[in-house]
Amino acid sequence: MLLVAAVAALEVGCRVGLIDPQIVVPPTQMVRGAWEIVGRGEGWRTVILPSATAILVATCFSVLIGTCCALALSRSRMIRSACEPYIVVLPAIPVFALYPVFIAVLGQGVVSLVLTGVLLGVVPMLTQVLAGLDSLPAYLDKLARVYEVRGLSRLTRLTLPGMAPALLTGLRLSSAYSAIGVIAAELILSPRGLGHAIHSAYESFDLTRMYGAILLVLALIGSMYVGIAMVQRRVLAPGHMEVRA
Amino acid sequence: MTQVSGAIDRAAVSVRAVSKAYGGVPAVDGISFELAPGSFVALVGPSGCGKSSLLEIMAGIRGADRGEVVVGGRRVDRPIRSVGVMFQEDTTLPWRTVYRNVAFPLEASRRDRHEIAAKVEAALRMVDLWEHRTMHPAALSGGMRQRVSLARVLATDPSVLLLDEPFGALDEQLRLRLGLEVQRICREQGRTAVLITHSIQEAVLLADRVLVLSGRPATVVQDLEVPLPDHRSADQLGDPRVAQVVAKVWASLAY
Amino acid sequence: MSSLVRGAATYLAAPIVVLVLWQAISMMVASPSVPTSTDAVEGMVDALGNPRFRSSVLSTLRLLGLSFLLAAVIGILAGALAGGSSLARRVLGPVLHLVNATPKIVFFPVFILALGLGDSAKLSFAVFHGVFIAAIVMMEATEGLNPRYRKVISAYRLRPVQATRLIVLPALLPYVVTALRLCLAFTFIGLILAELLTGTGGIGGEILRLMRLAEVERITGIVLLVMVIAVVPVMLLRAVEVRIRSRYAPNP
Ligand SMILES: Nc1ncnc2c1ncn2[C@@H]1O[C@H](COP(=O)(O)OP(=O)(O)OP(=O)(O)O)[C@@H](O)[C@H]1O
Ligand SMILES: [Mg+2]
Repeated sequence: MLLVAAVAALEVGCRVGLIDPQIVVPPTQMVRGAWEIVGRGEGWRTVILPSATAILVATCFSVLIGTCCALALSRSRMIRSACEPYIVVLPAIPVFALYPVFIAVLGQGVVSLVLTGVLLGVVPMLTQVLAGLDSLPAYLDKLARVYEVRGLSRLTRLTLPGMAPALLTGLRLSSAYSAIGVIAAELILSPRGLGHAIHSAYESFDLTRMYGAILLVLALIGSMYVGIAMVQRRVLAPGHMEVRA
Repeated sequence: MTQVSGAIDRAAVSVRAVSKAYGGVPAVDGISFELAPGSFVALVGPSGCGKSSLLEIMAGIRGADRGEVVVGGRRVDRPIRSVGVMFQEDTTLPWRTVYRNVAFPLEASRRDRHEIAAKVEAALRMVDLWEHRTMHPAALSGGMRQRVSLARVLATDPSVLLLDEPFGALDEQLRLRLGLEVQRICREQGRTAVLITHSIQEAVLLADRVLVLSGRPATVVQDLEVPLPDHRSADQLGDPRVAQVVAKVWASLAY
Repeated sequence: MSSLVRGAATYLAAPIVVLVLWQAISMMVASPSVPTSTDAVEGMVDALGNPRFRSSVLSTLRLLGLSFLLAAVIGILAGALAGGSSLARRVLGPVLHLVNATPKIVFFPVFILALGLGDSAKLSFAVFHGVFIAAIVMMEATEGLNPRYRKVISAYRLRPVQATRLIVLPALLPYVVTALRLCLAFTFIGLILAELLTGTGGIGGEILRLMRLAEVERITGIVLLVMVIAVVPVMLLRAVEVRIRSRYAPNP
């Protein structure tokens, strides 16, 4: 509701001339800019697909690495307590600053982009899985002992389903953060992708295209987020509550 | 086989001089008793005396410091299939339906699919939850959830059931009703049961034998027969024989 | 004494392990383009010896101080006020949450368009990046203020000023520290991002310049410095937070 009002106000403001058209263009024009990218095969090939693939790959790695690290950490109390103070400050690290290092070491390319996305995406996954493991009820341990469910079977039958809400929340946050990492890296330096589209359009003062690309980024991240949230609501059993990290 | 072991084999469960200490402080101290096959035995004792510890040792999920537990002629040093345990707290898995909760132990021991289906259905019908098989635990009442746990134990077809205050968290009416249900099922199917409870009345009403344990460390201070017929019902609460045994239990608890 | 040593050991274990692993891996790769951790430290020391770089660091720190101050004050005040009034909460709450959830980085070009490539764009983007999280923490803290306190306030008939000084502020203190910590972290990330995106001045600009020159060791050293600047104050604030929270026994 509020969003609709804001968008309408922006449209009116731009049209009437309250807002400088050299800074912000009206929302309808933004949509047109987005359509000019989406509506062309070339736009898909050089703008959307490169970003989307990098985001997808980065998300997969984030989820896998985050989950495995959290499971490994939780196995030893000593290692866990040694890492705890650092895990809390992980979100404070300006990961983007590492992207230039990756470029210097690995060169410009998908690897550097994905690496940046993974480093950002792995943090929420790690914290979510750790919180999920902590919130597993103690009786799972008793059940595991009574029915002798051990090792991999215990992981797949008790541990992972027990923290399914945390896993899905982790996936949701992780995909959003991976996307931010990839787009930011593309904004800094990249020959392709949505971030690059924003950057190049801004440099050539093509505001329509710039806002179009921004809109696409927001739509992409927003739809991923909402999509996973819907899946989460659909697949989780009623009463299988979400834990808050 | 020697004469002695033949005699022991006749007992469904033998607890022999079992002791257990936590950090040097004894919790269970040299407890011994034998359970006849098909008997329903209640264990009562003060809170924190070591009842749960004893039960977990009998279930093979906790080791004893000294002594041994023998079930069906086999020494228990790890969980064995013929023993089923039901815990005090709600241990249903929230992400599984009623049906899949009951199937859990069977899946874990990799049984055949048809066998699982047959056993789960039989167990769910026993506790009268077959109609609710597709529901998730969150949609059930506390009593129904405990019945799911009971069905989960029954599905593994144990010859011995160990019940640790299984309905302790429920209100009194429901507790007694479910207790009577368990008693009936065990009786009809010839299963041996050990019931831990803090309600003396419940113990006397359900069991054919009541073992009274002392405060920590737990030792057996009284071993009482309950002179009631096999068929039990709530009507018997007013029976003078029940009152008599209850009084005896109280007397030995004070001791 | 020994507990102090143990505490220090558990604190230092993780970074030491990371450095050792890094050193081991980079030595195994043994390629001139992969810097070892000692290379990075050397690069950092080397860079800090350069007066030009030192002035870049100082300019970043100055901007950080200013933007953190602005973001923290605005965020904490706005959040506390929004949480305190139910009308403001209903209006501002969804806006704050929505903006907080959007990836703010895509809006940076708008800041450049409006304010040019200079410090004011960087400063305002850093504030923009850090202010929302502080506001949200404070809003939720004020909103969730234990209802018992309201009873205390009305039972003793405290005037608003007294109530604020005696009850509300002390009750909110732990959350203020949390808000400060998150605000600092986000503001600094925003500032570094802004510098990396404009490519002029500050540590970020220096990183971009060296990236183009492919000076791997220097650049790694500088990024290491950035990490230290980012993490150390946040860890200190975190320690303060833990202390305050443990003193304010958890609210049942
Ligand atoms: N893992 C453990 N480590 C240390 N002490 C324990 C442990 N488990 C139980 N205890 C102690 O052993 C004693 C017996 O515990 P147990 O749970 O067996 O008692 P209980 O008779 O079942 O009590 P309740 O009736 O309250 O369930 C208690 O005093 C308890 O504090
Ligand atoms: Mg107990």
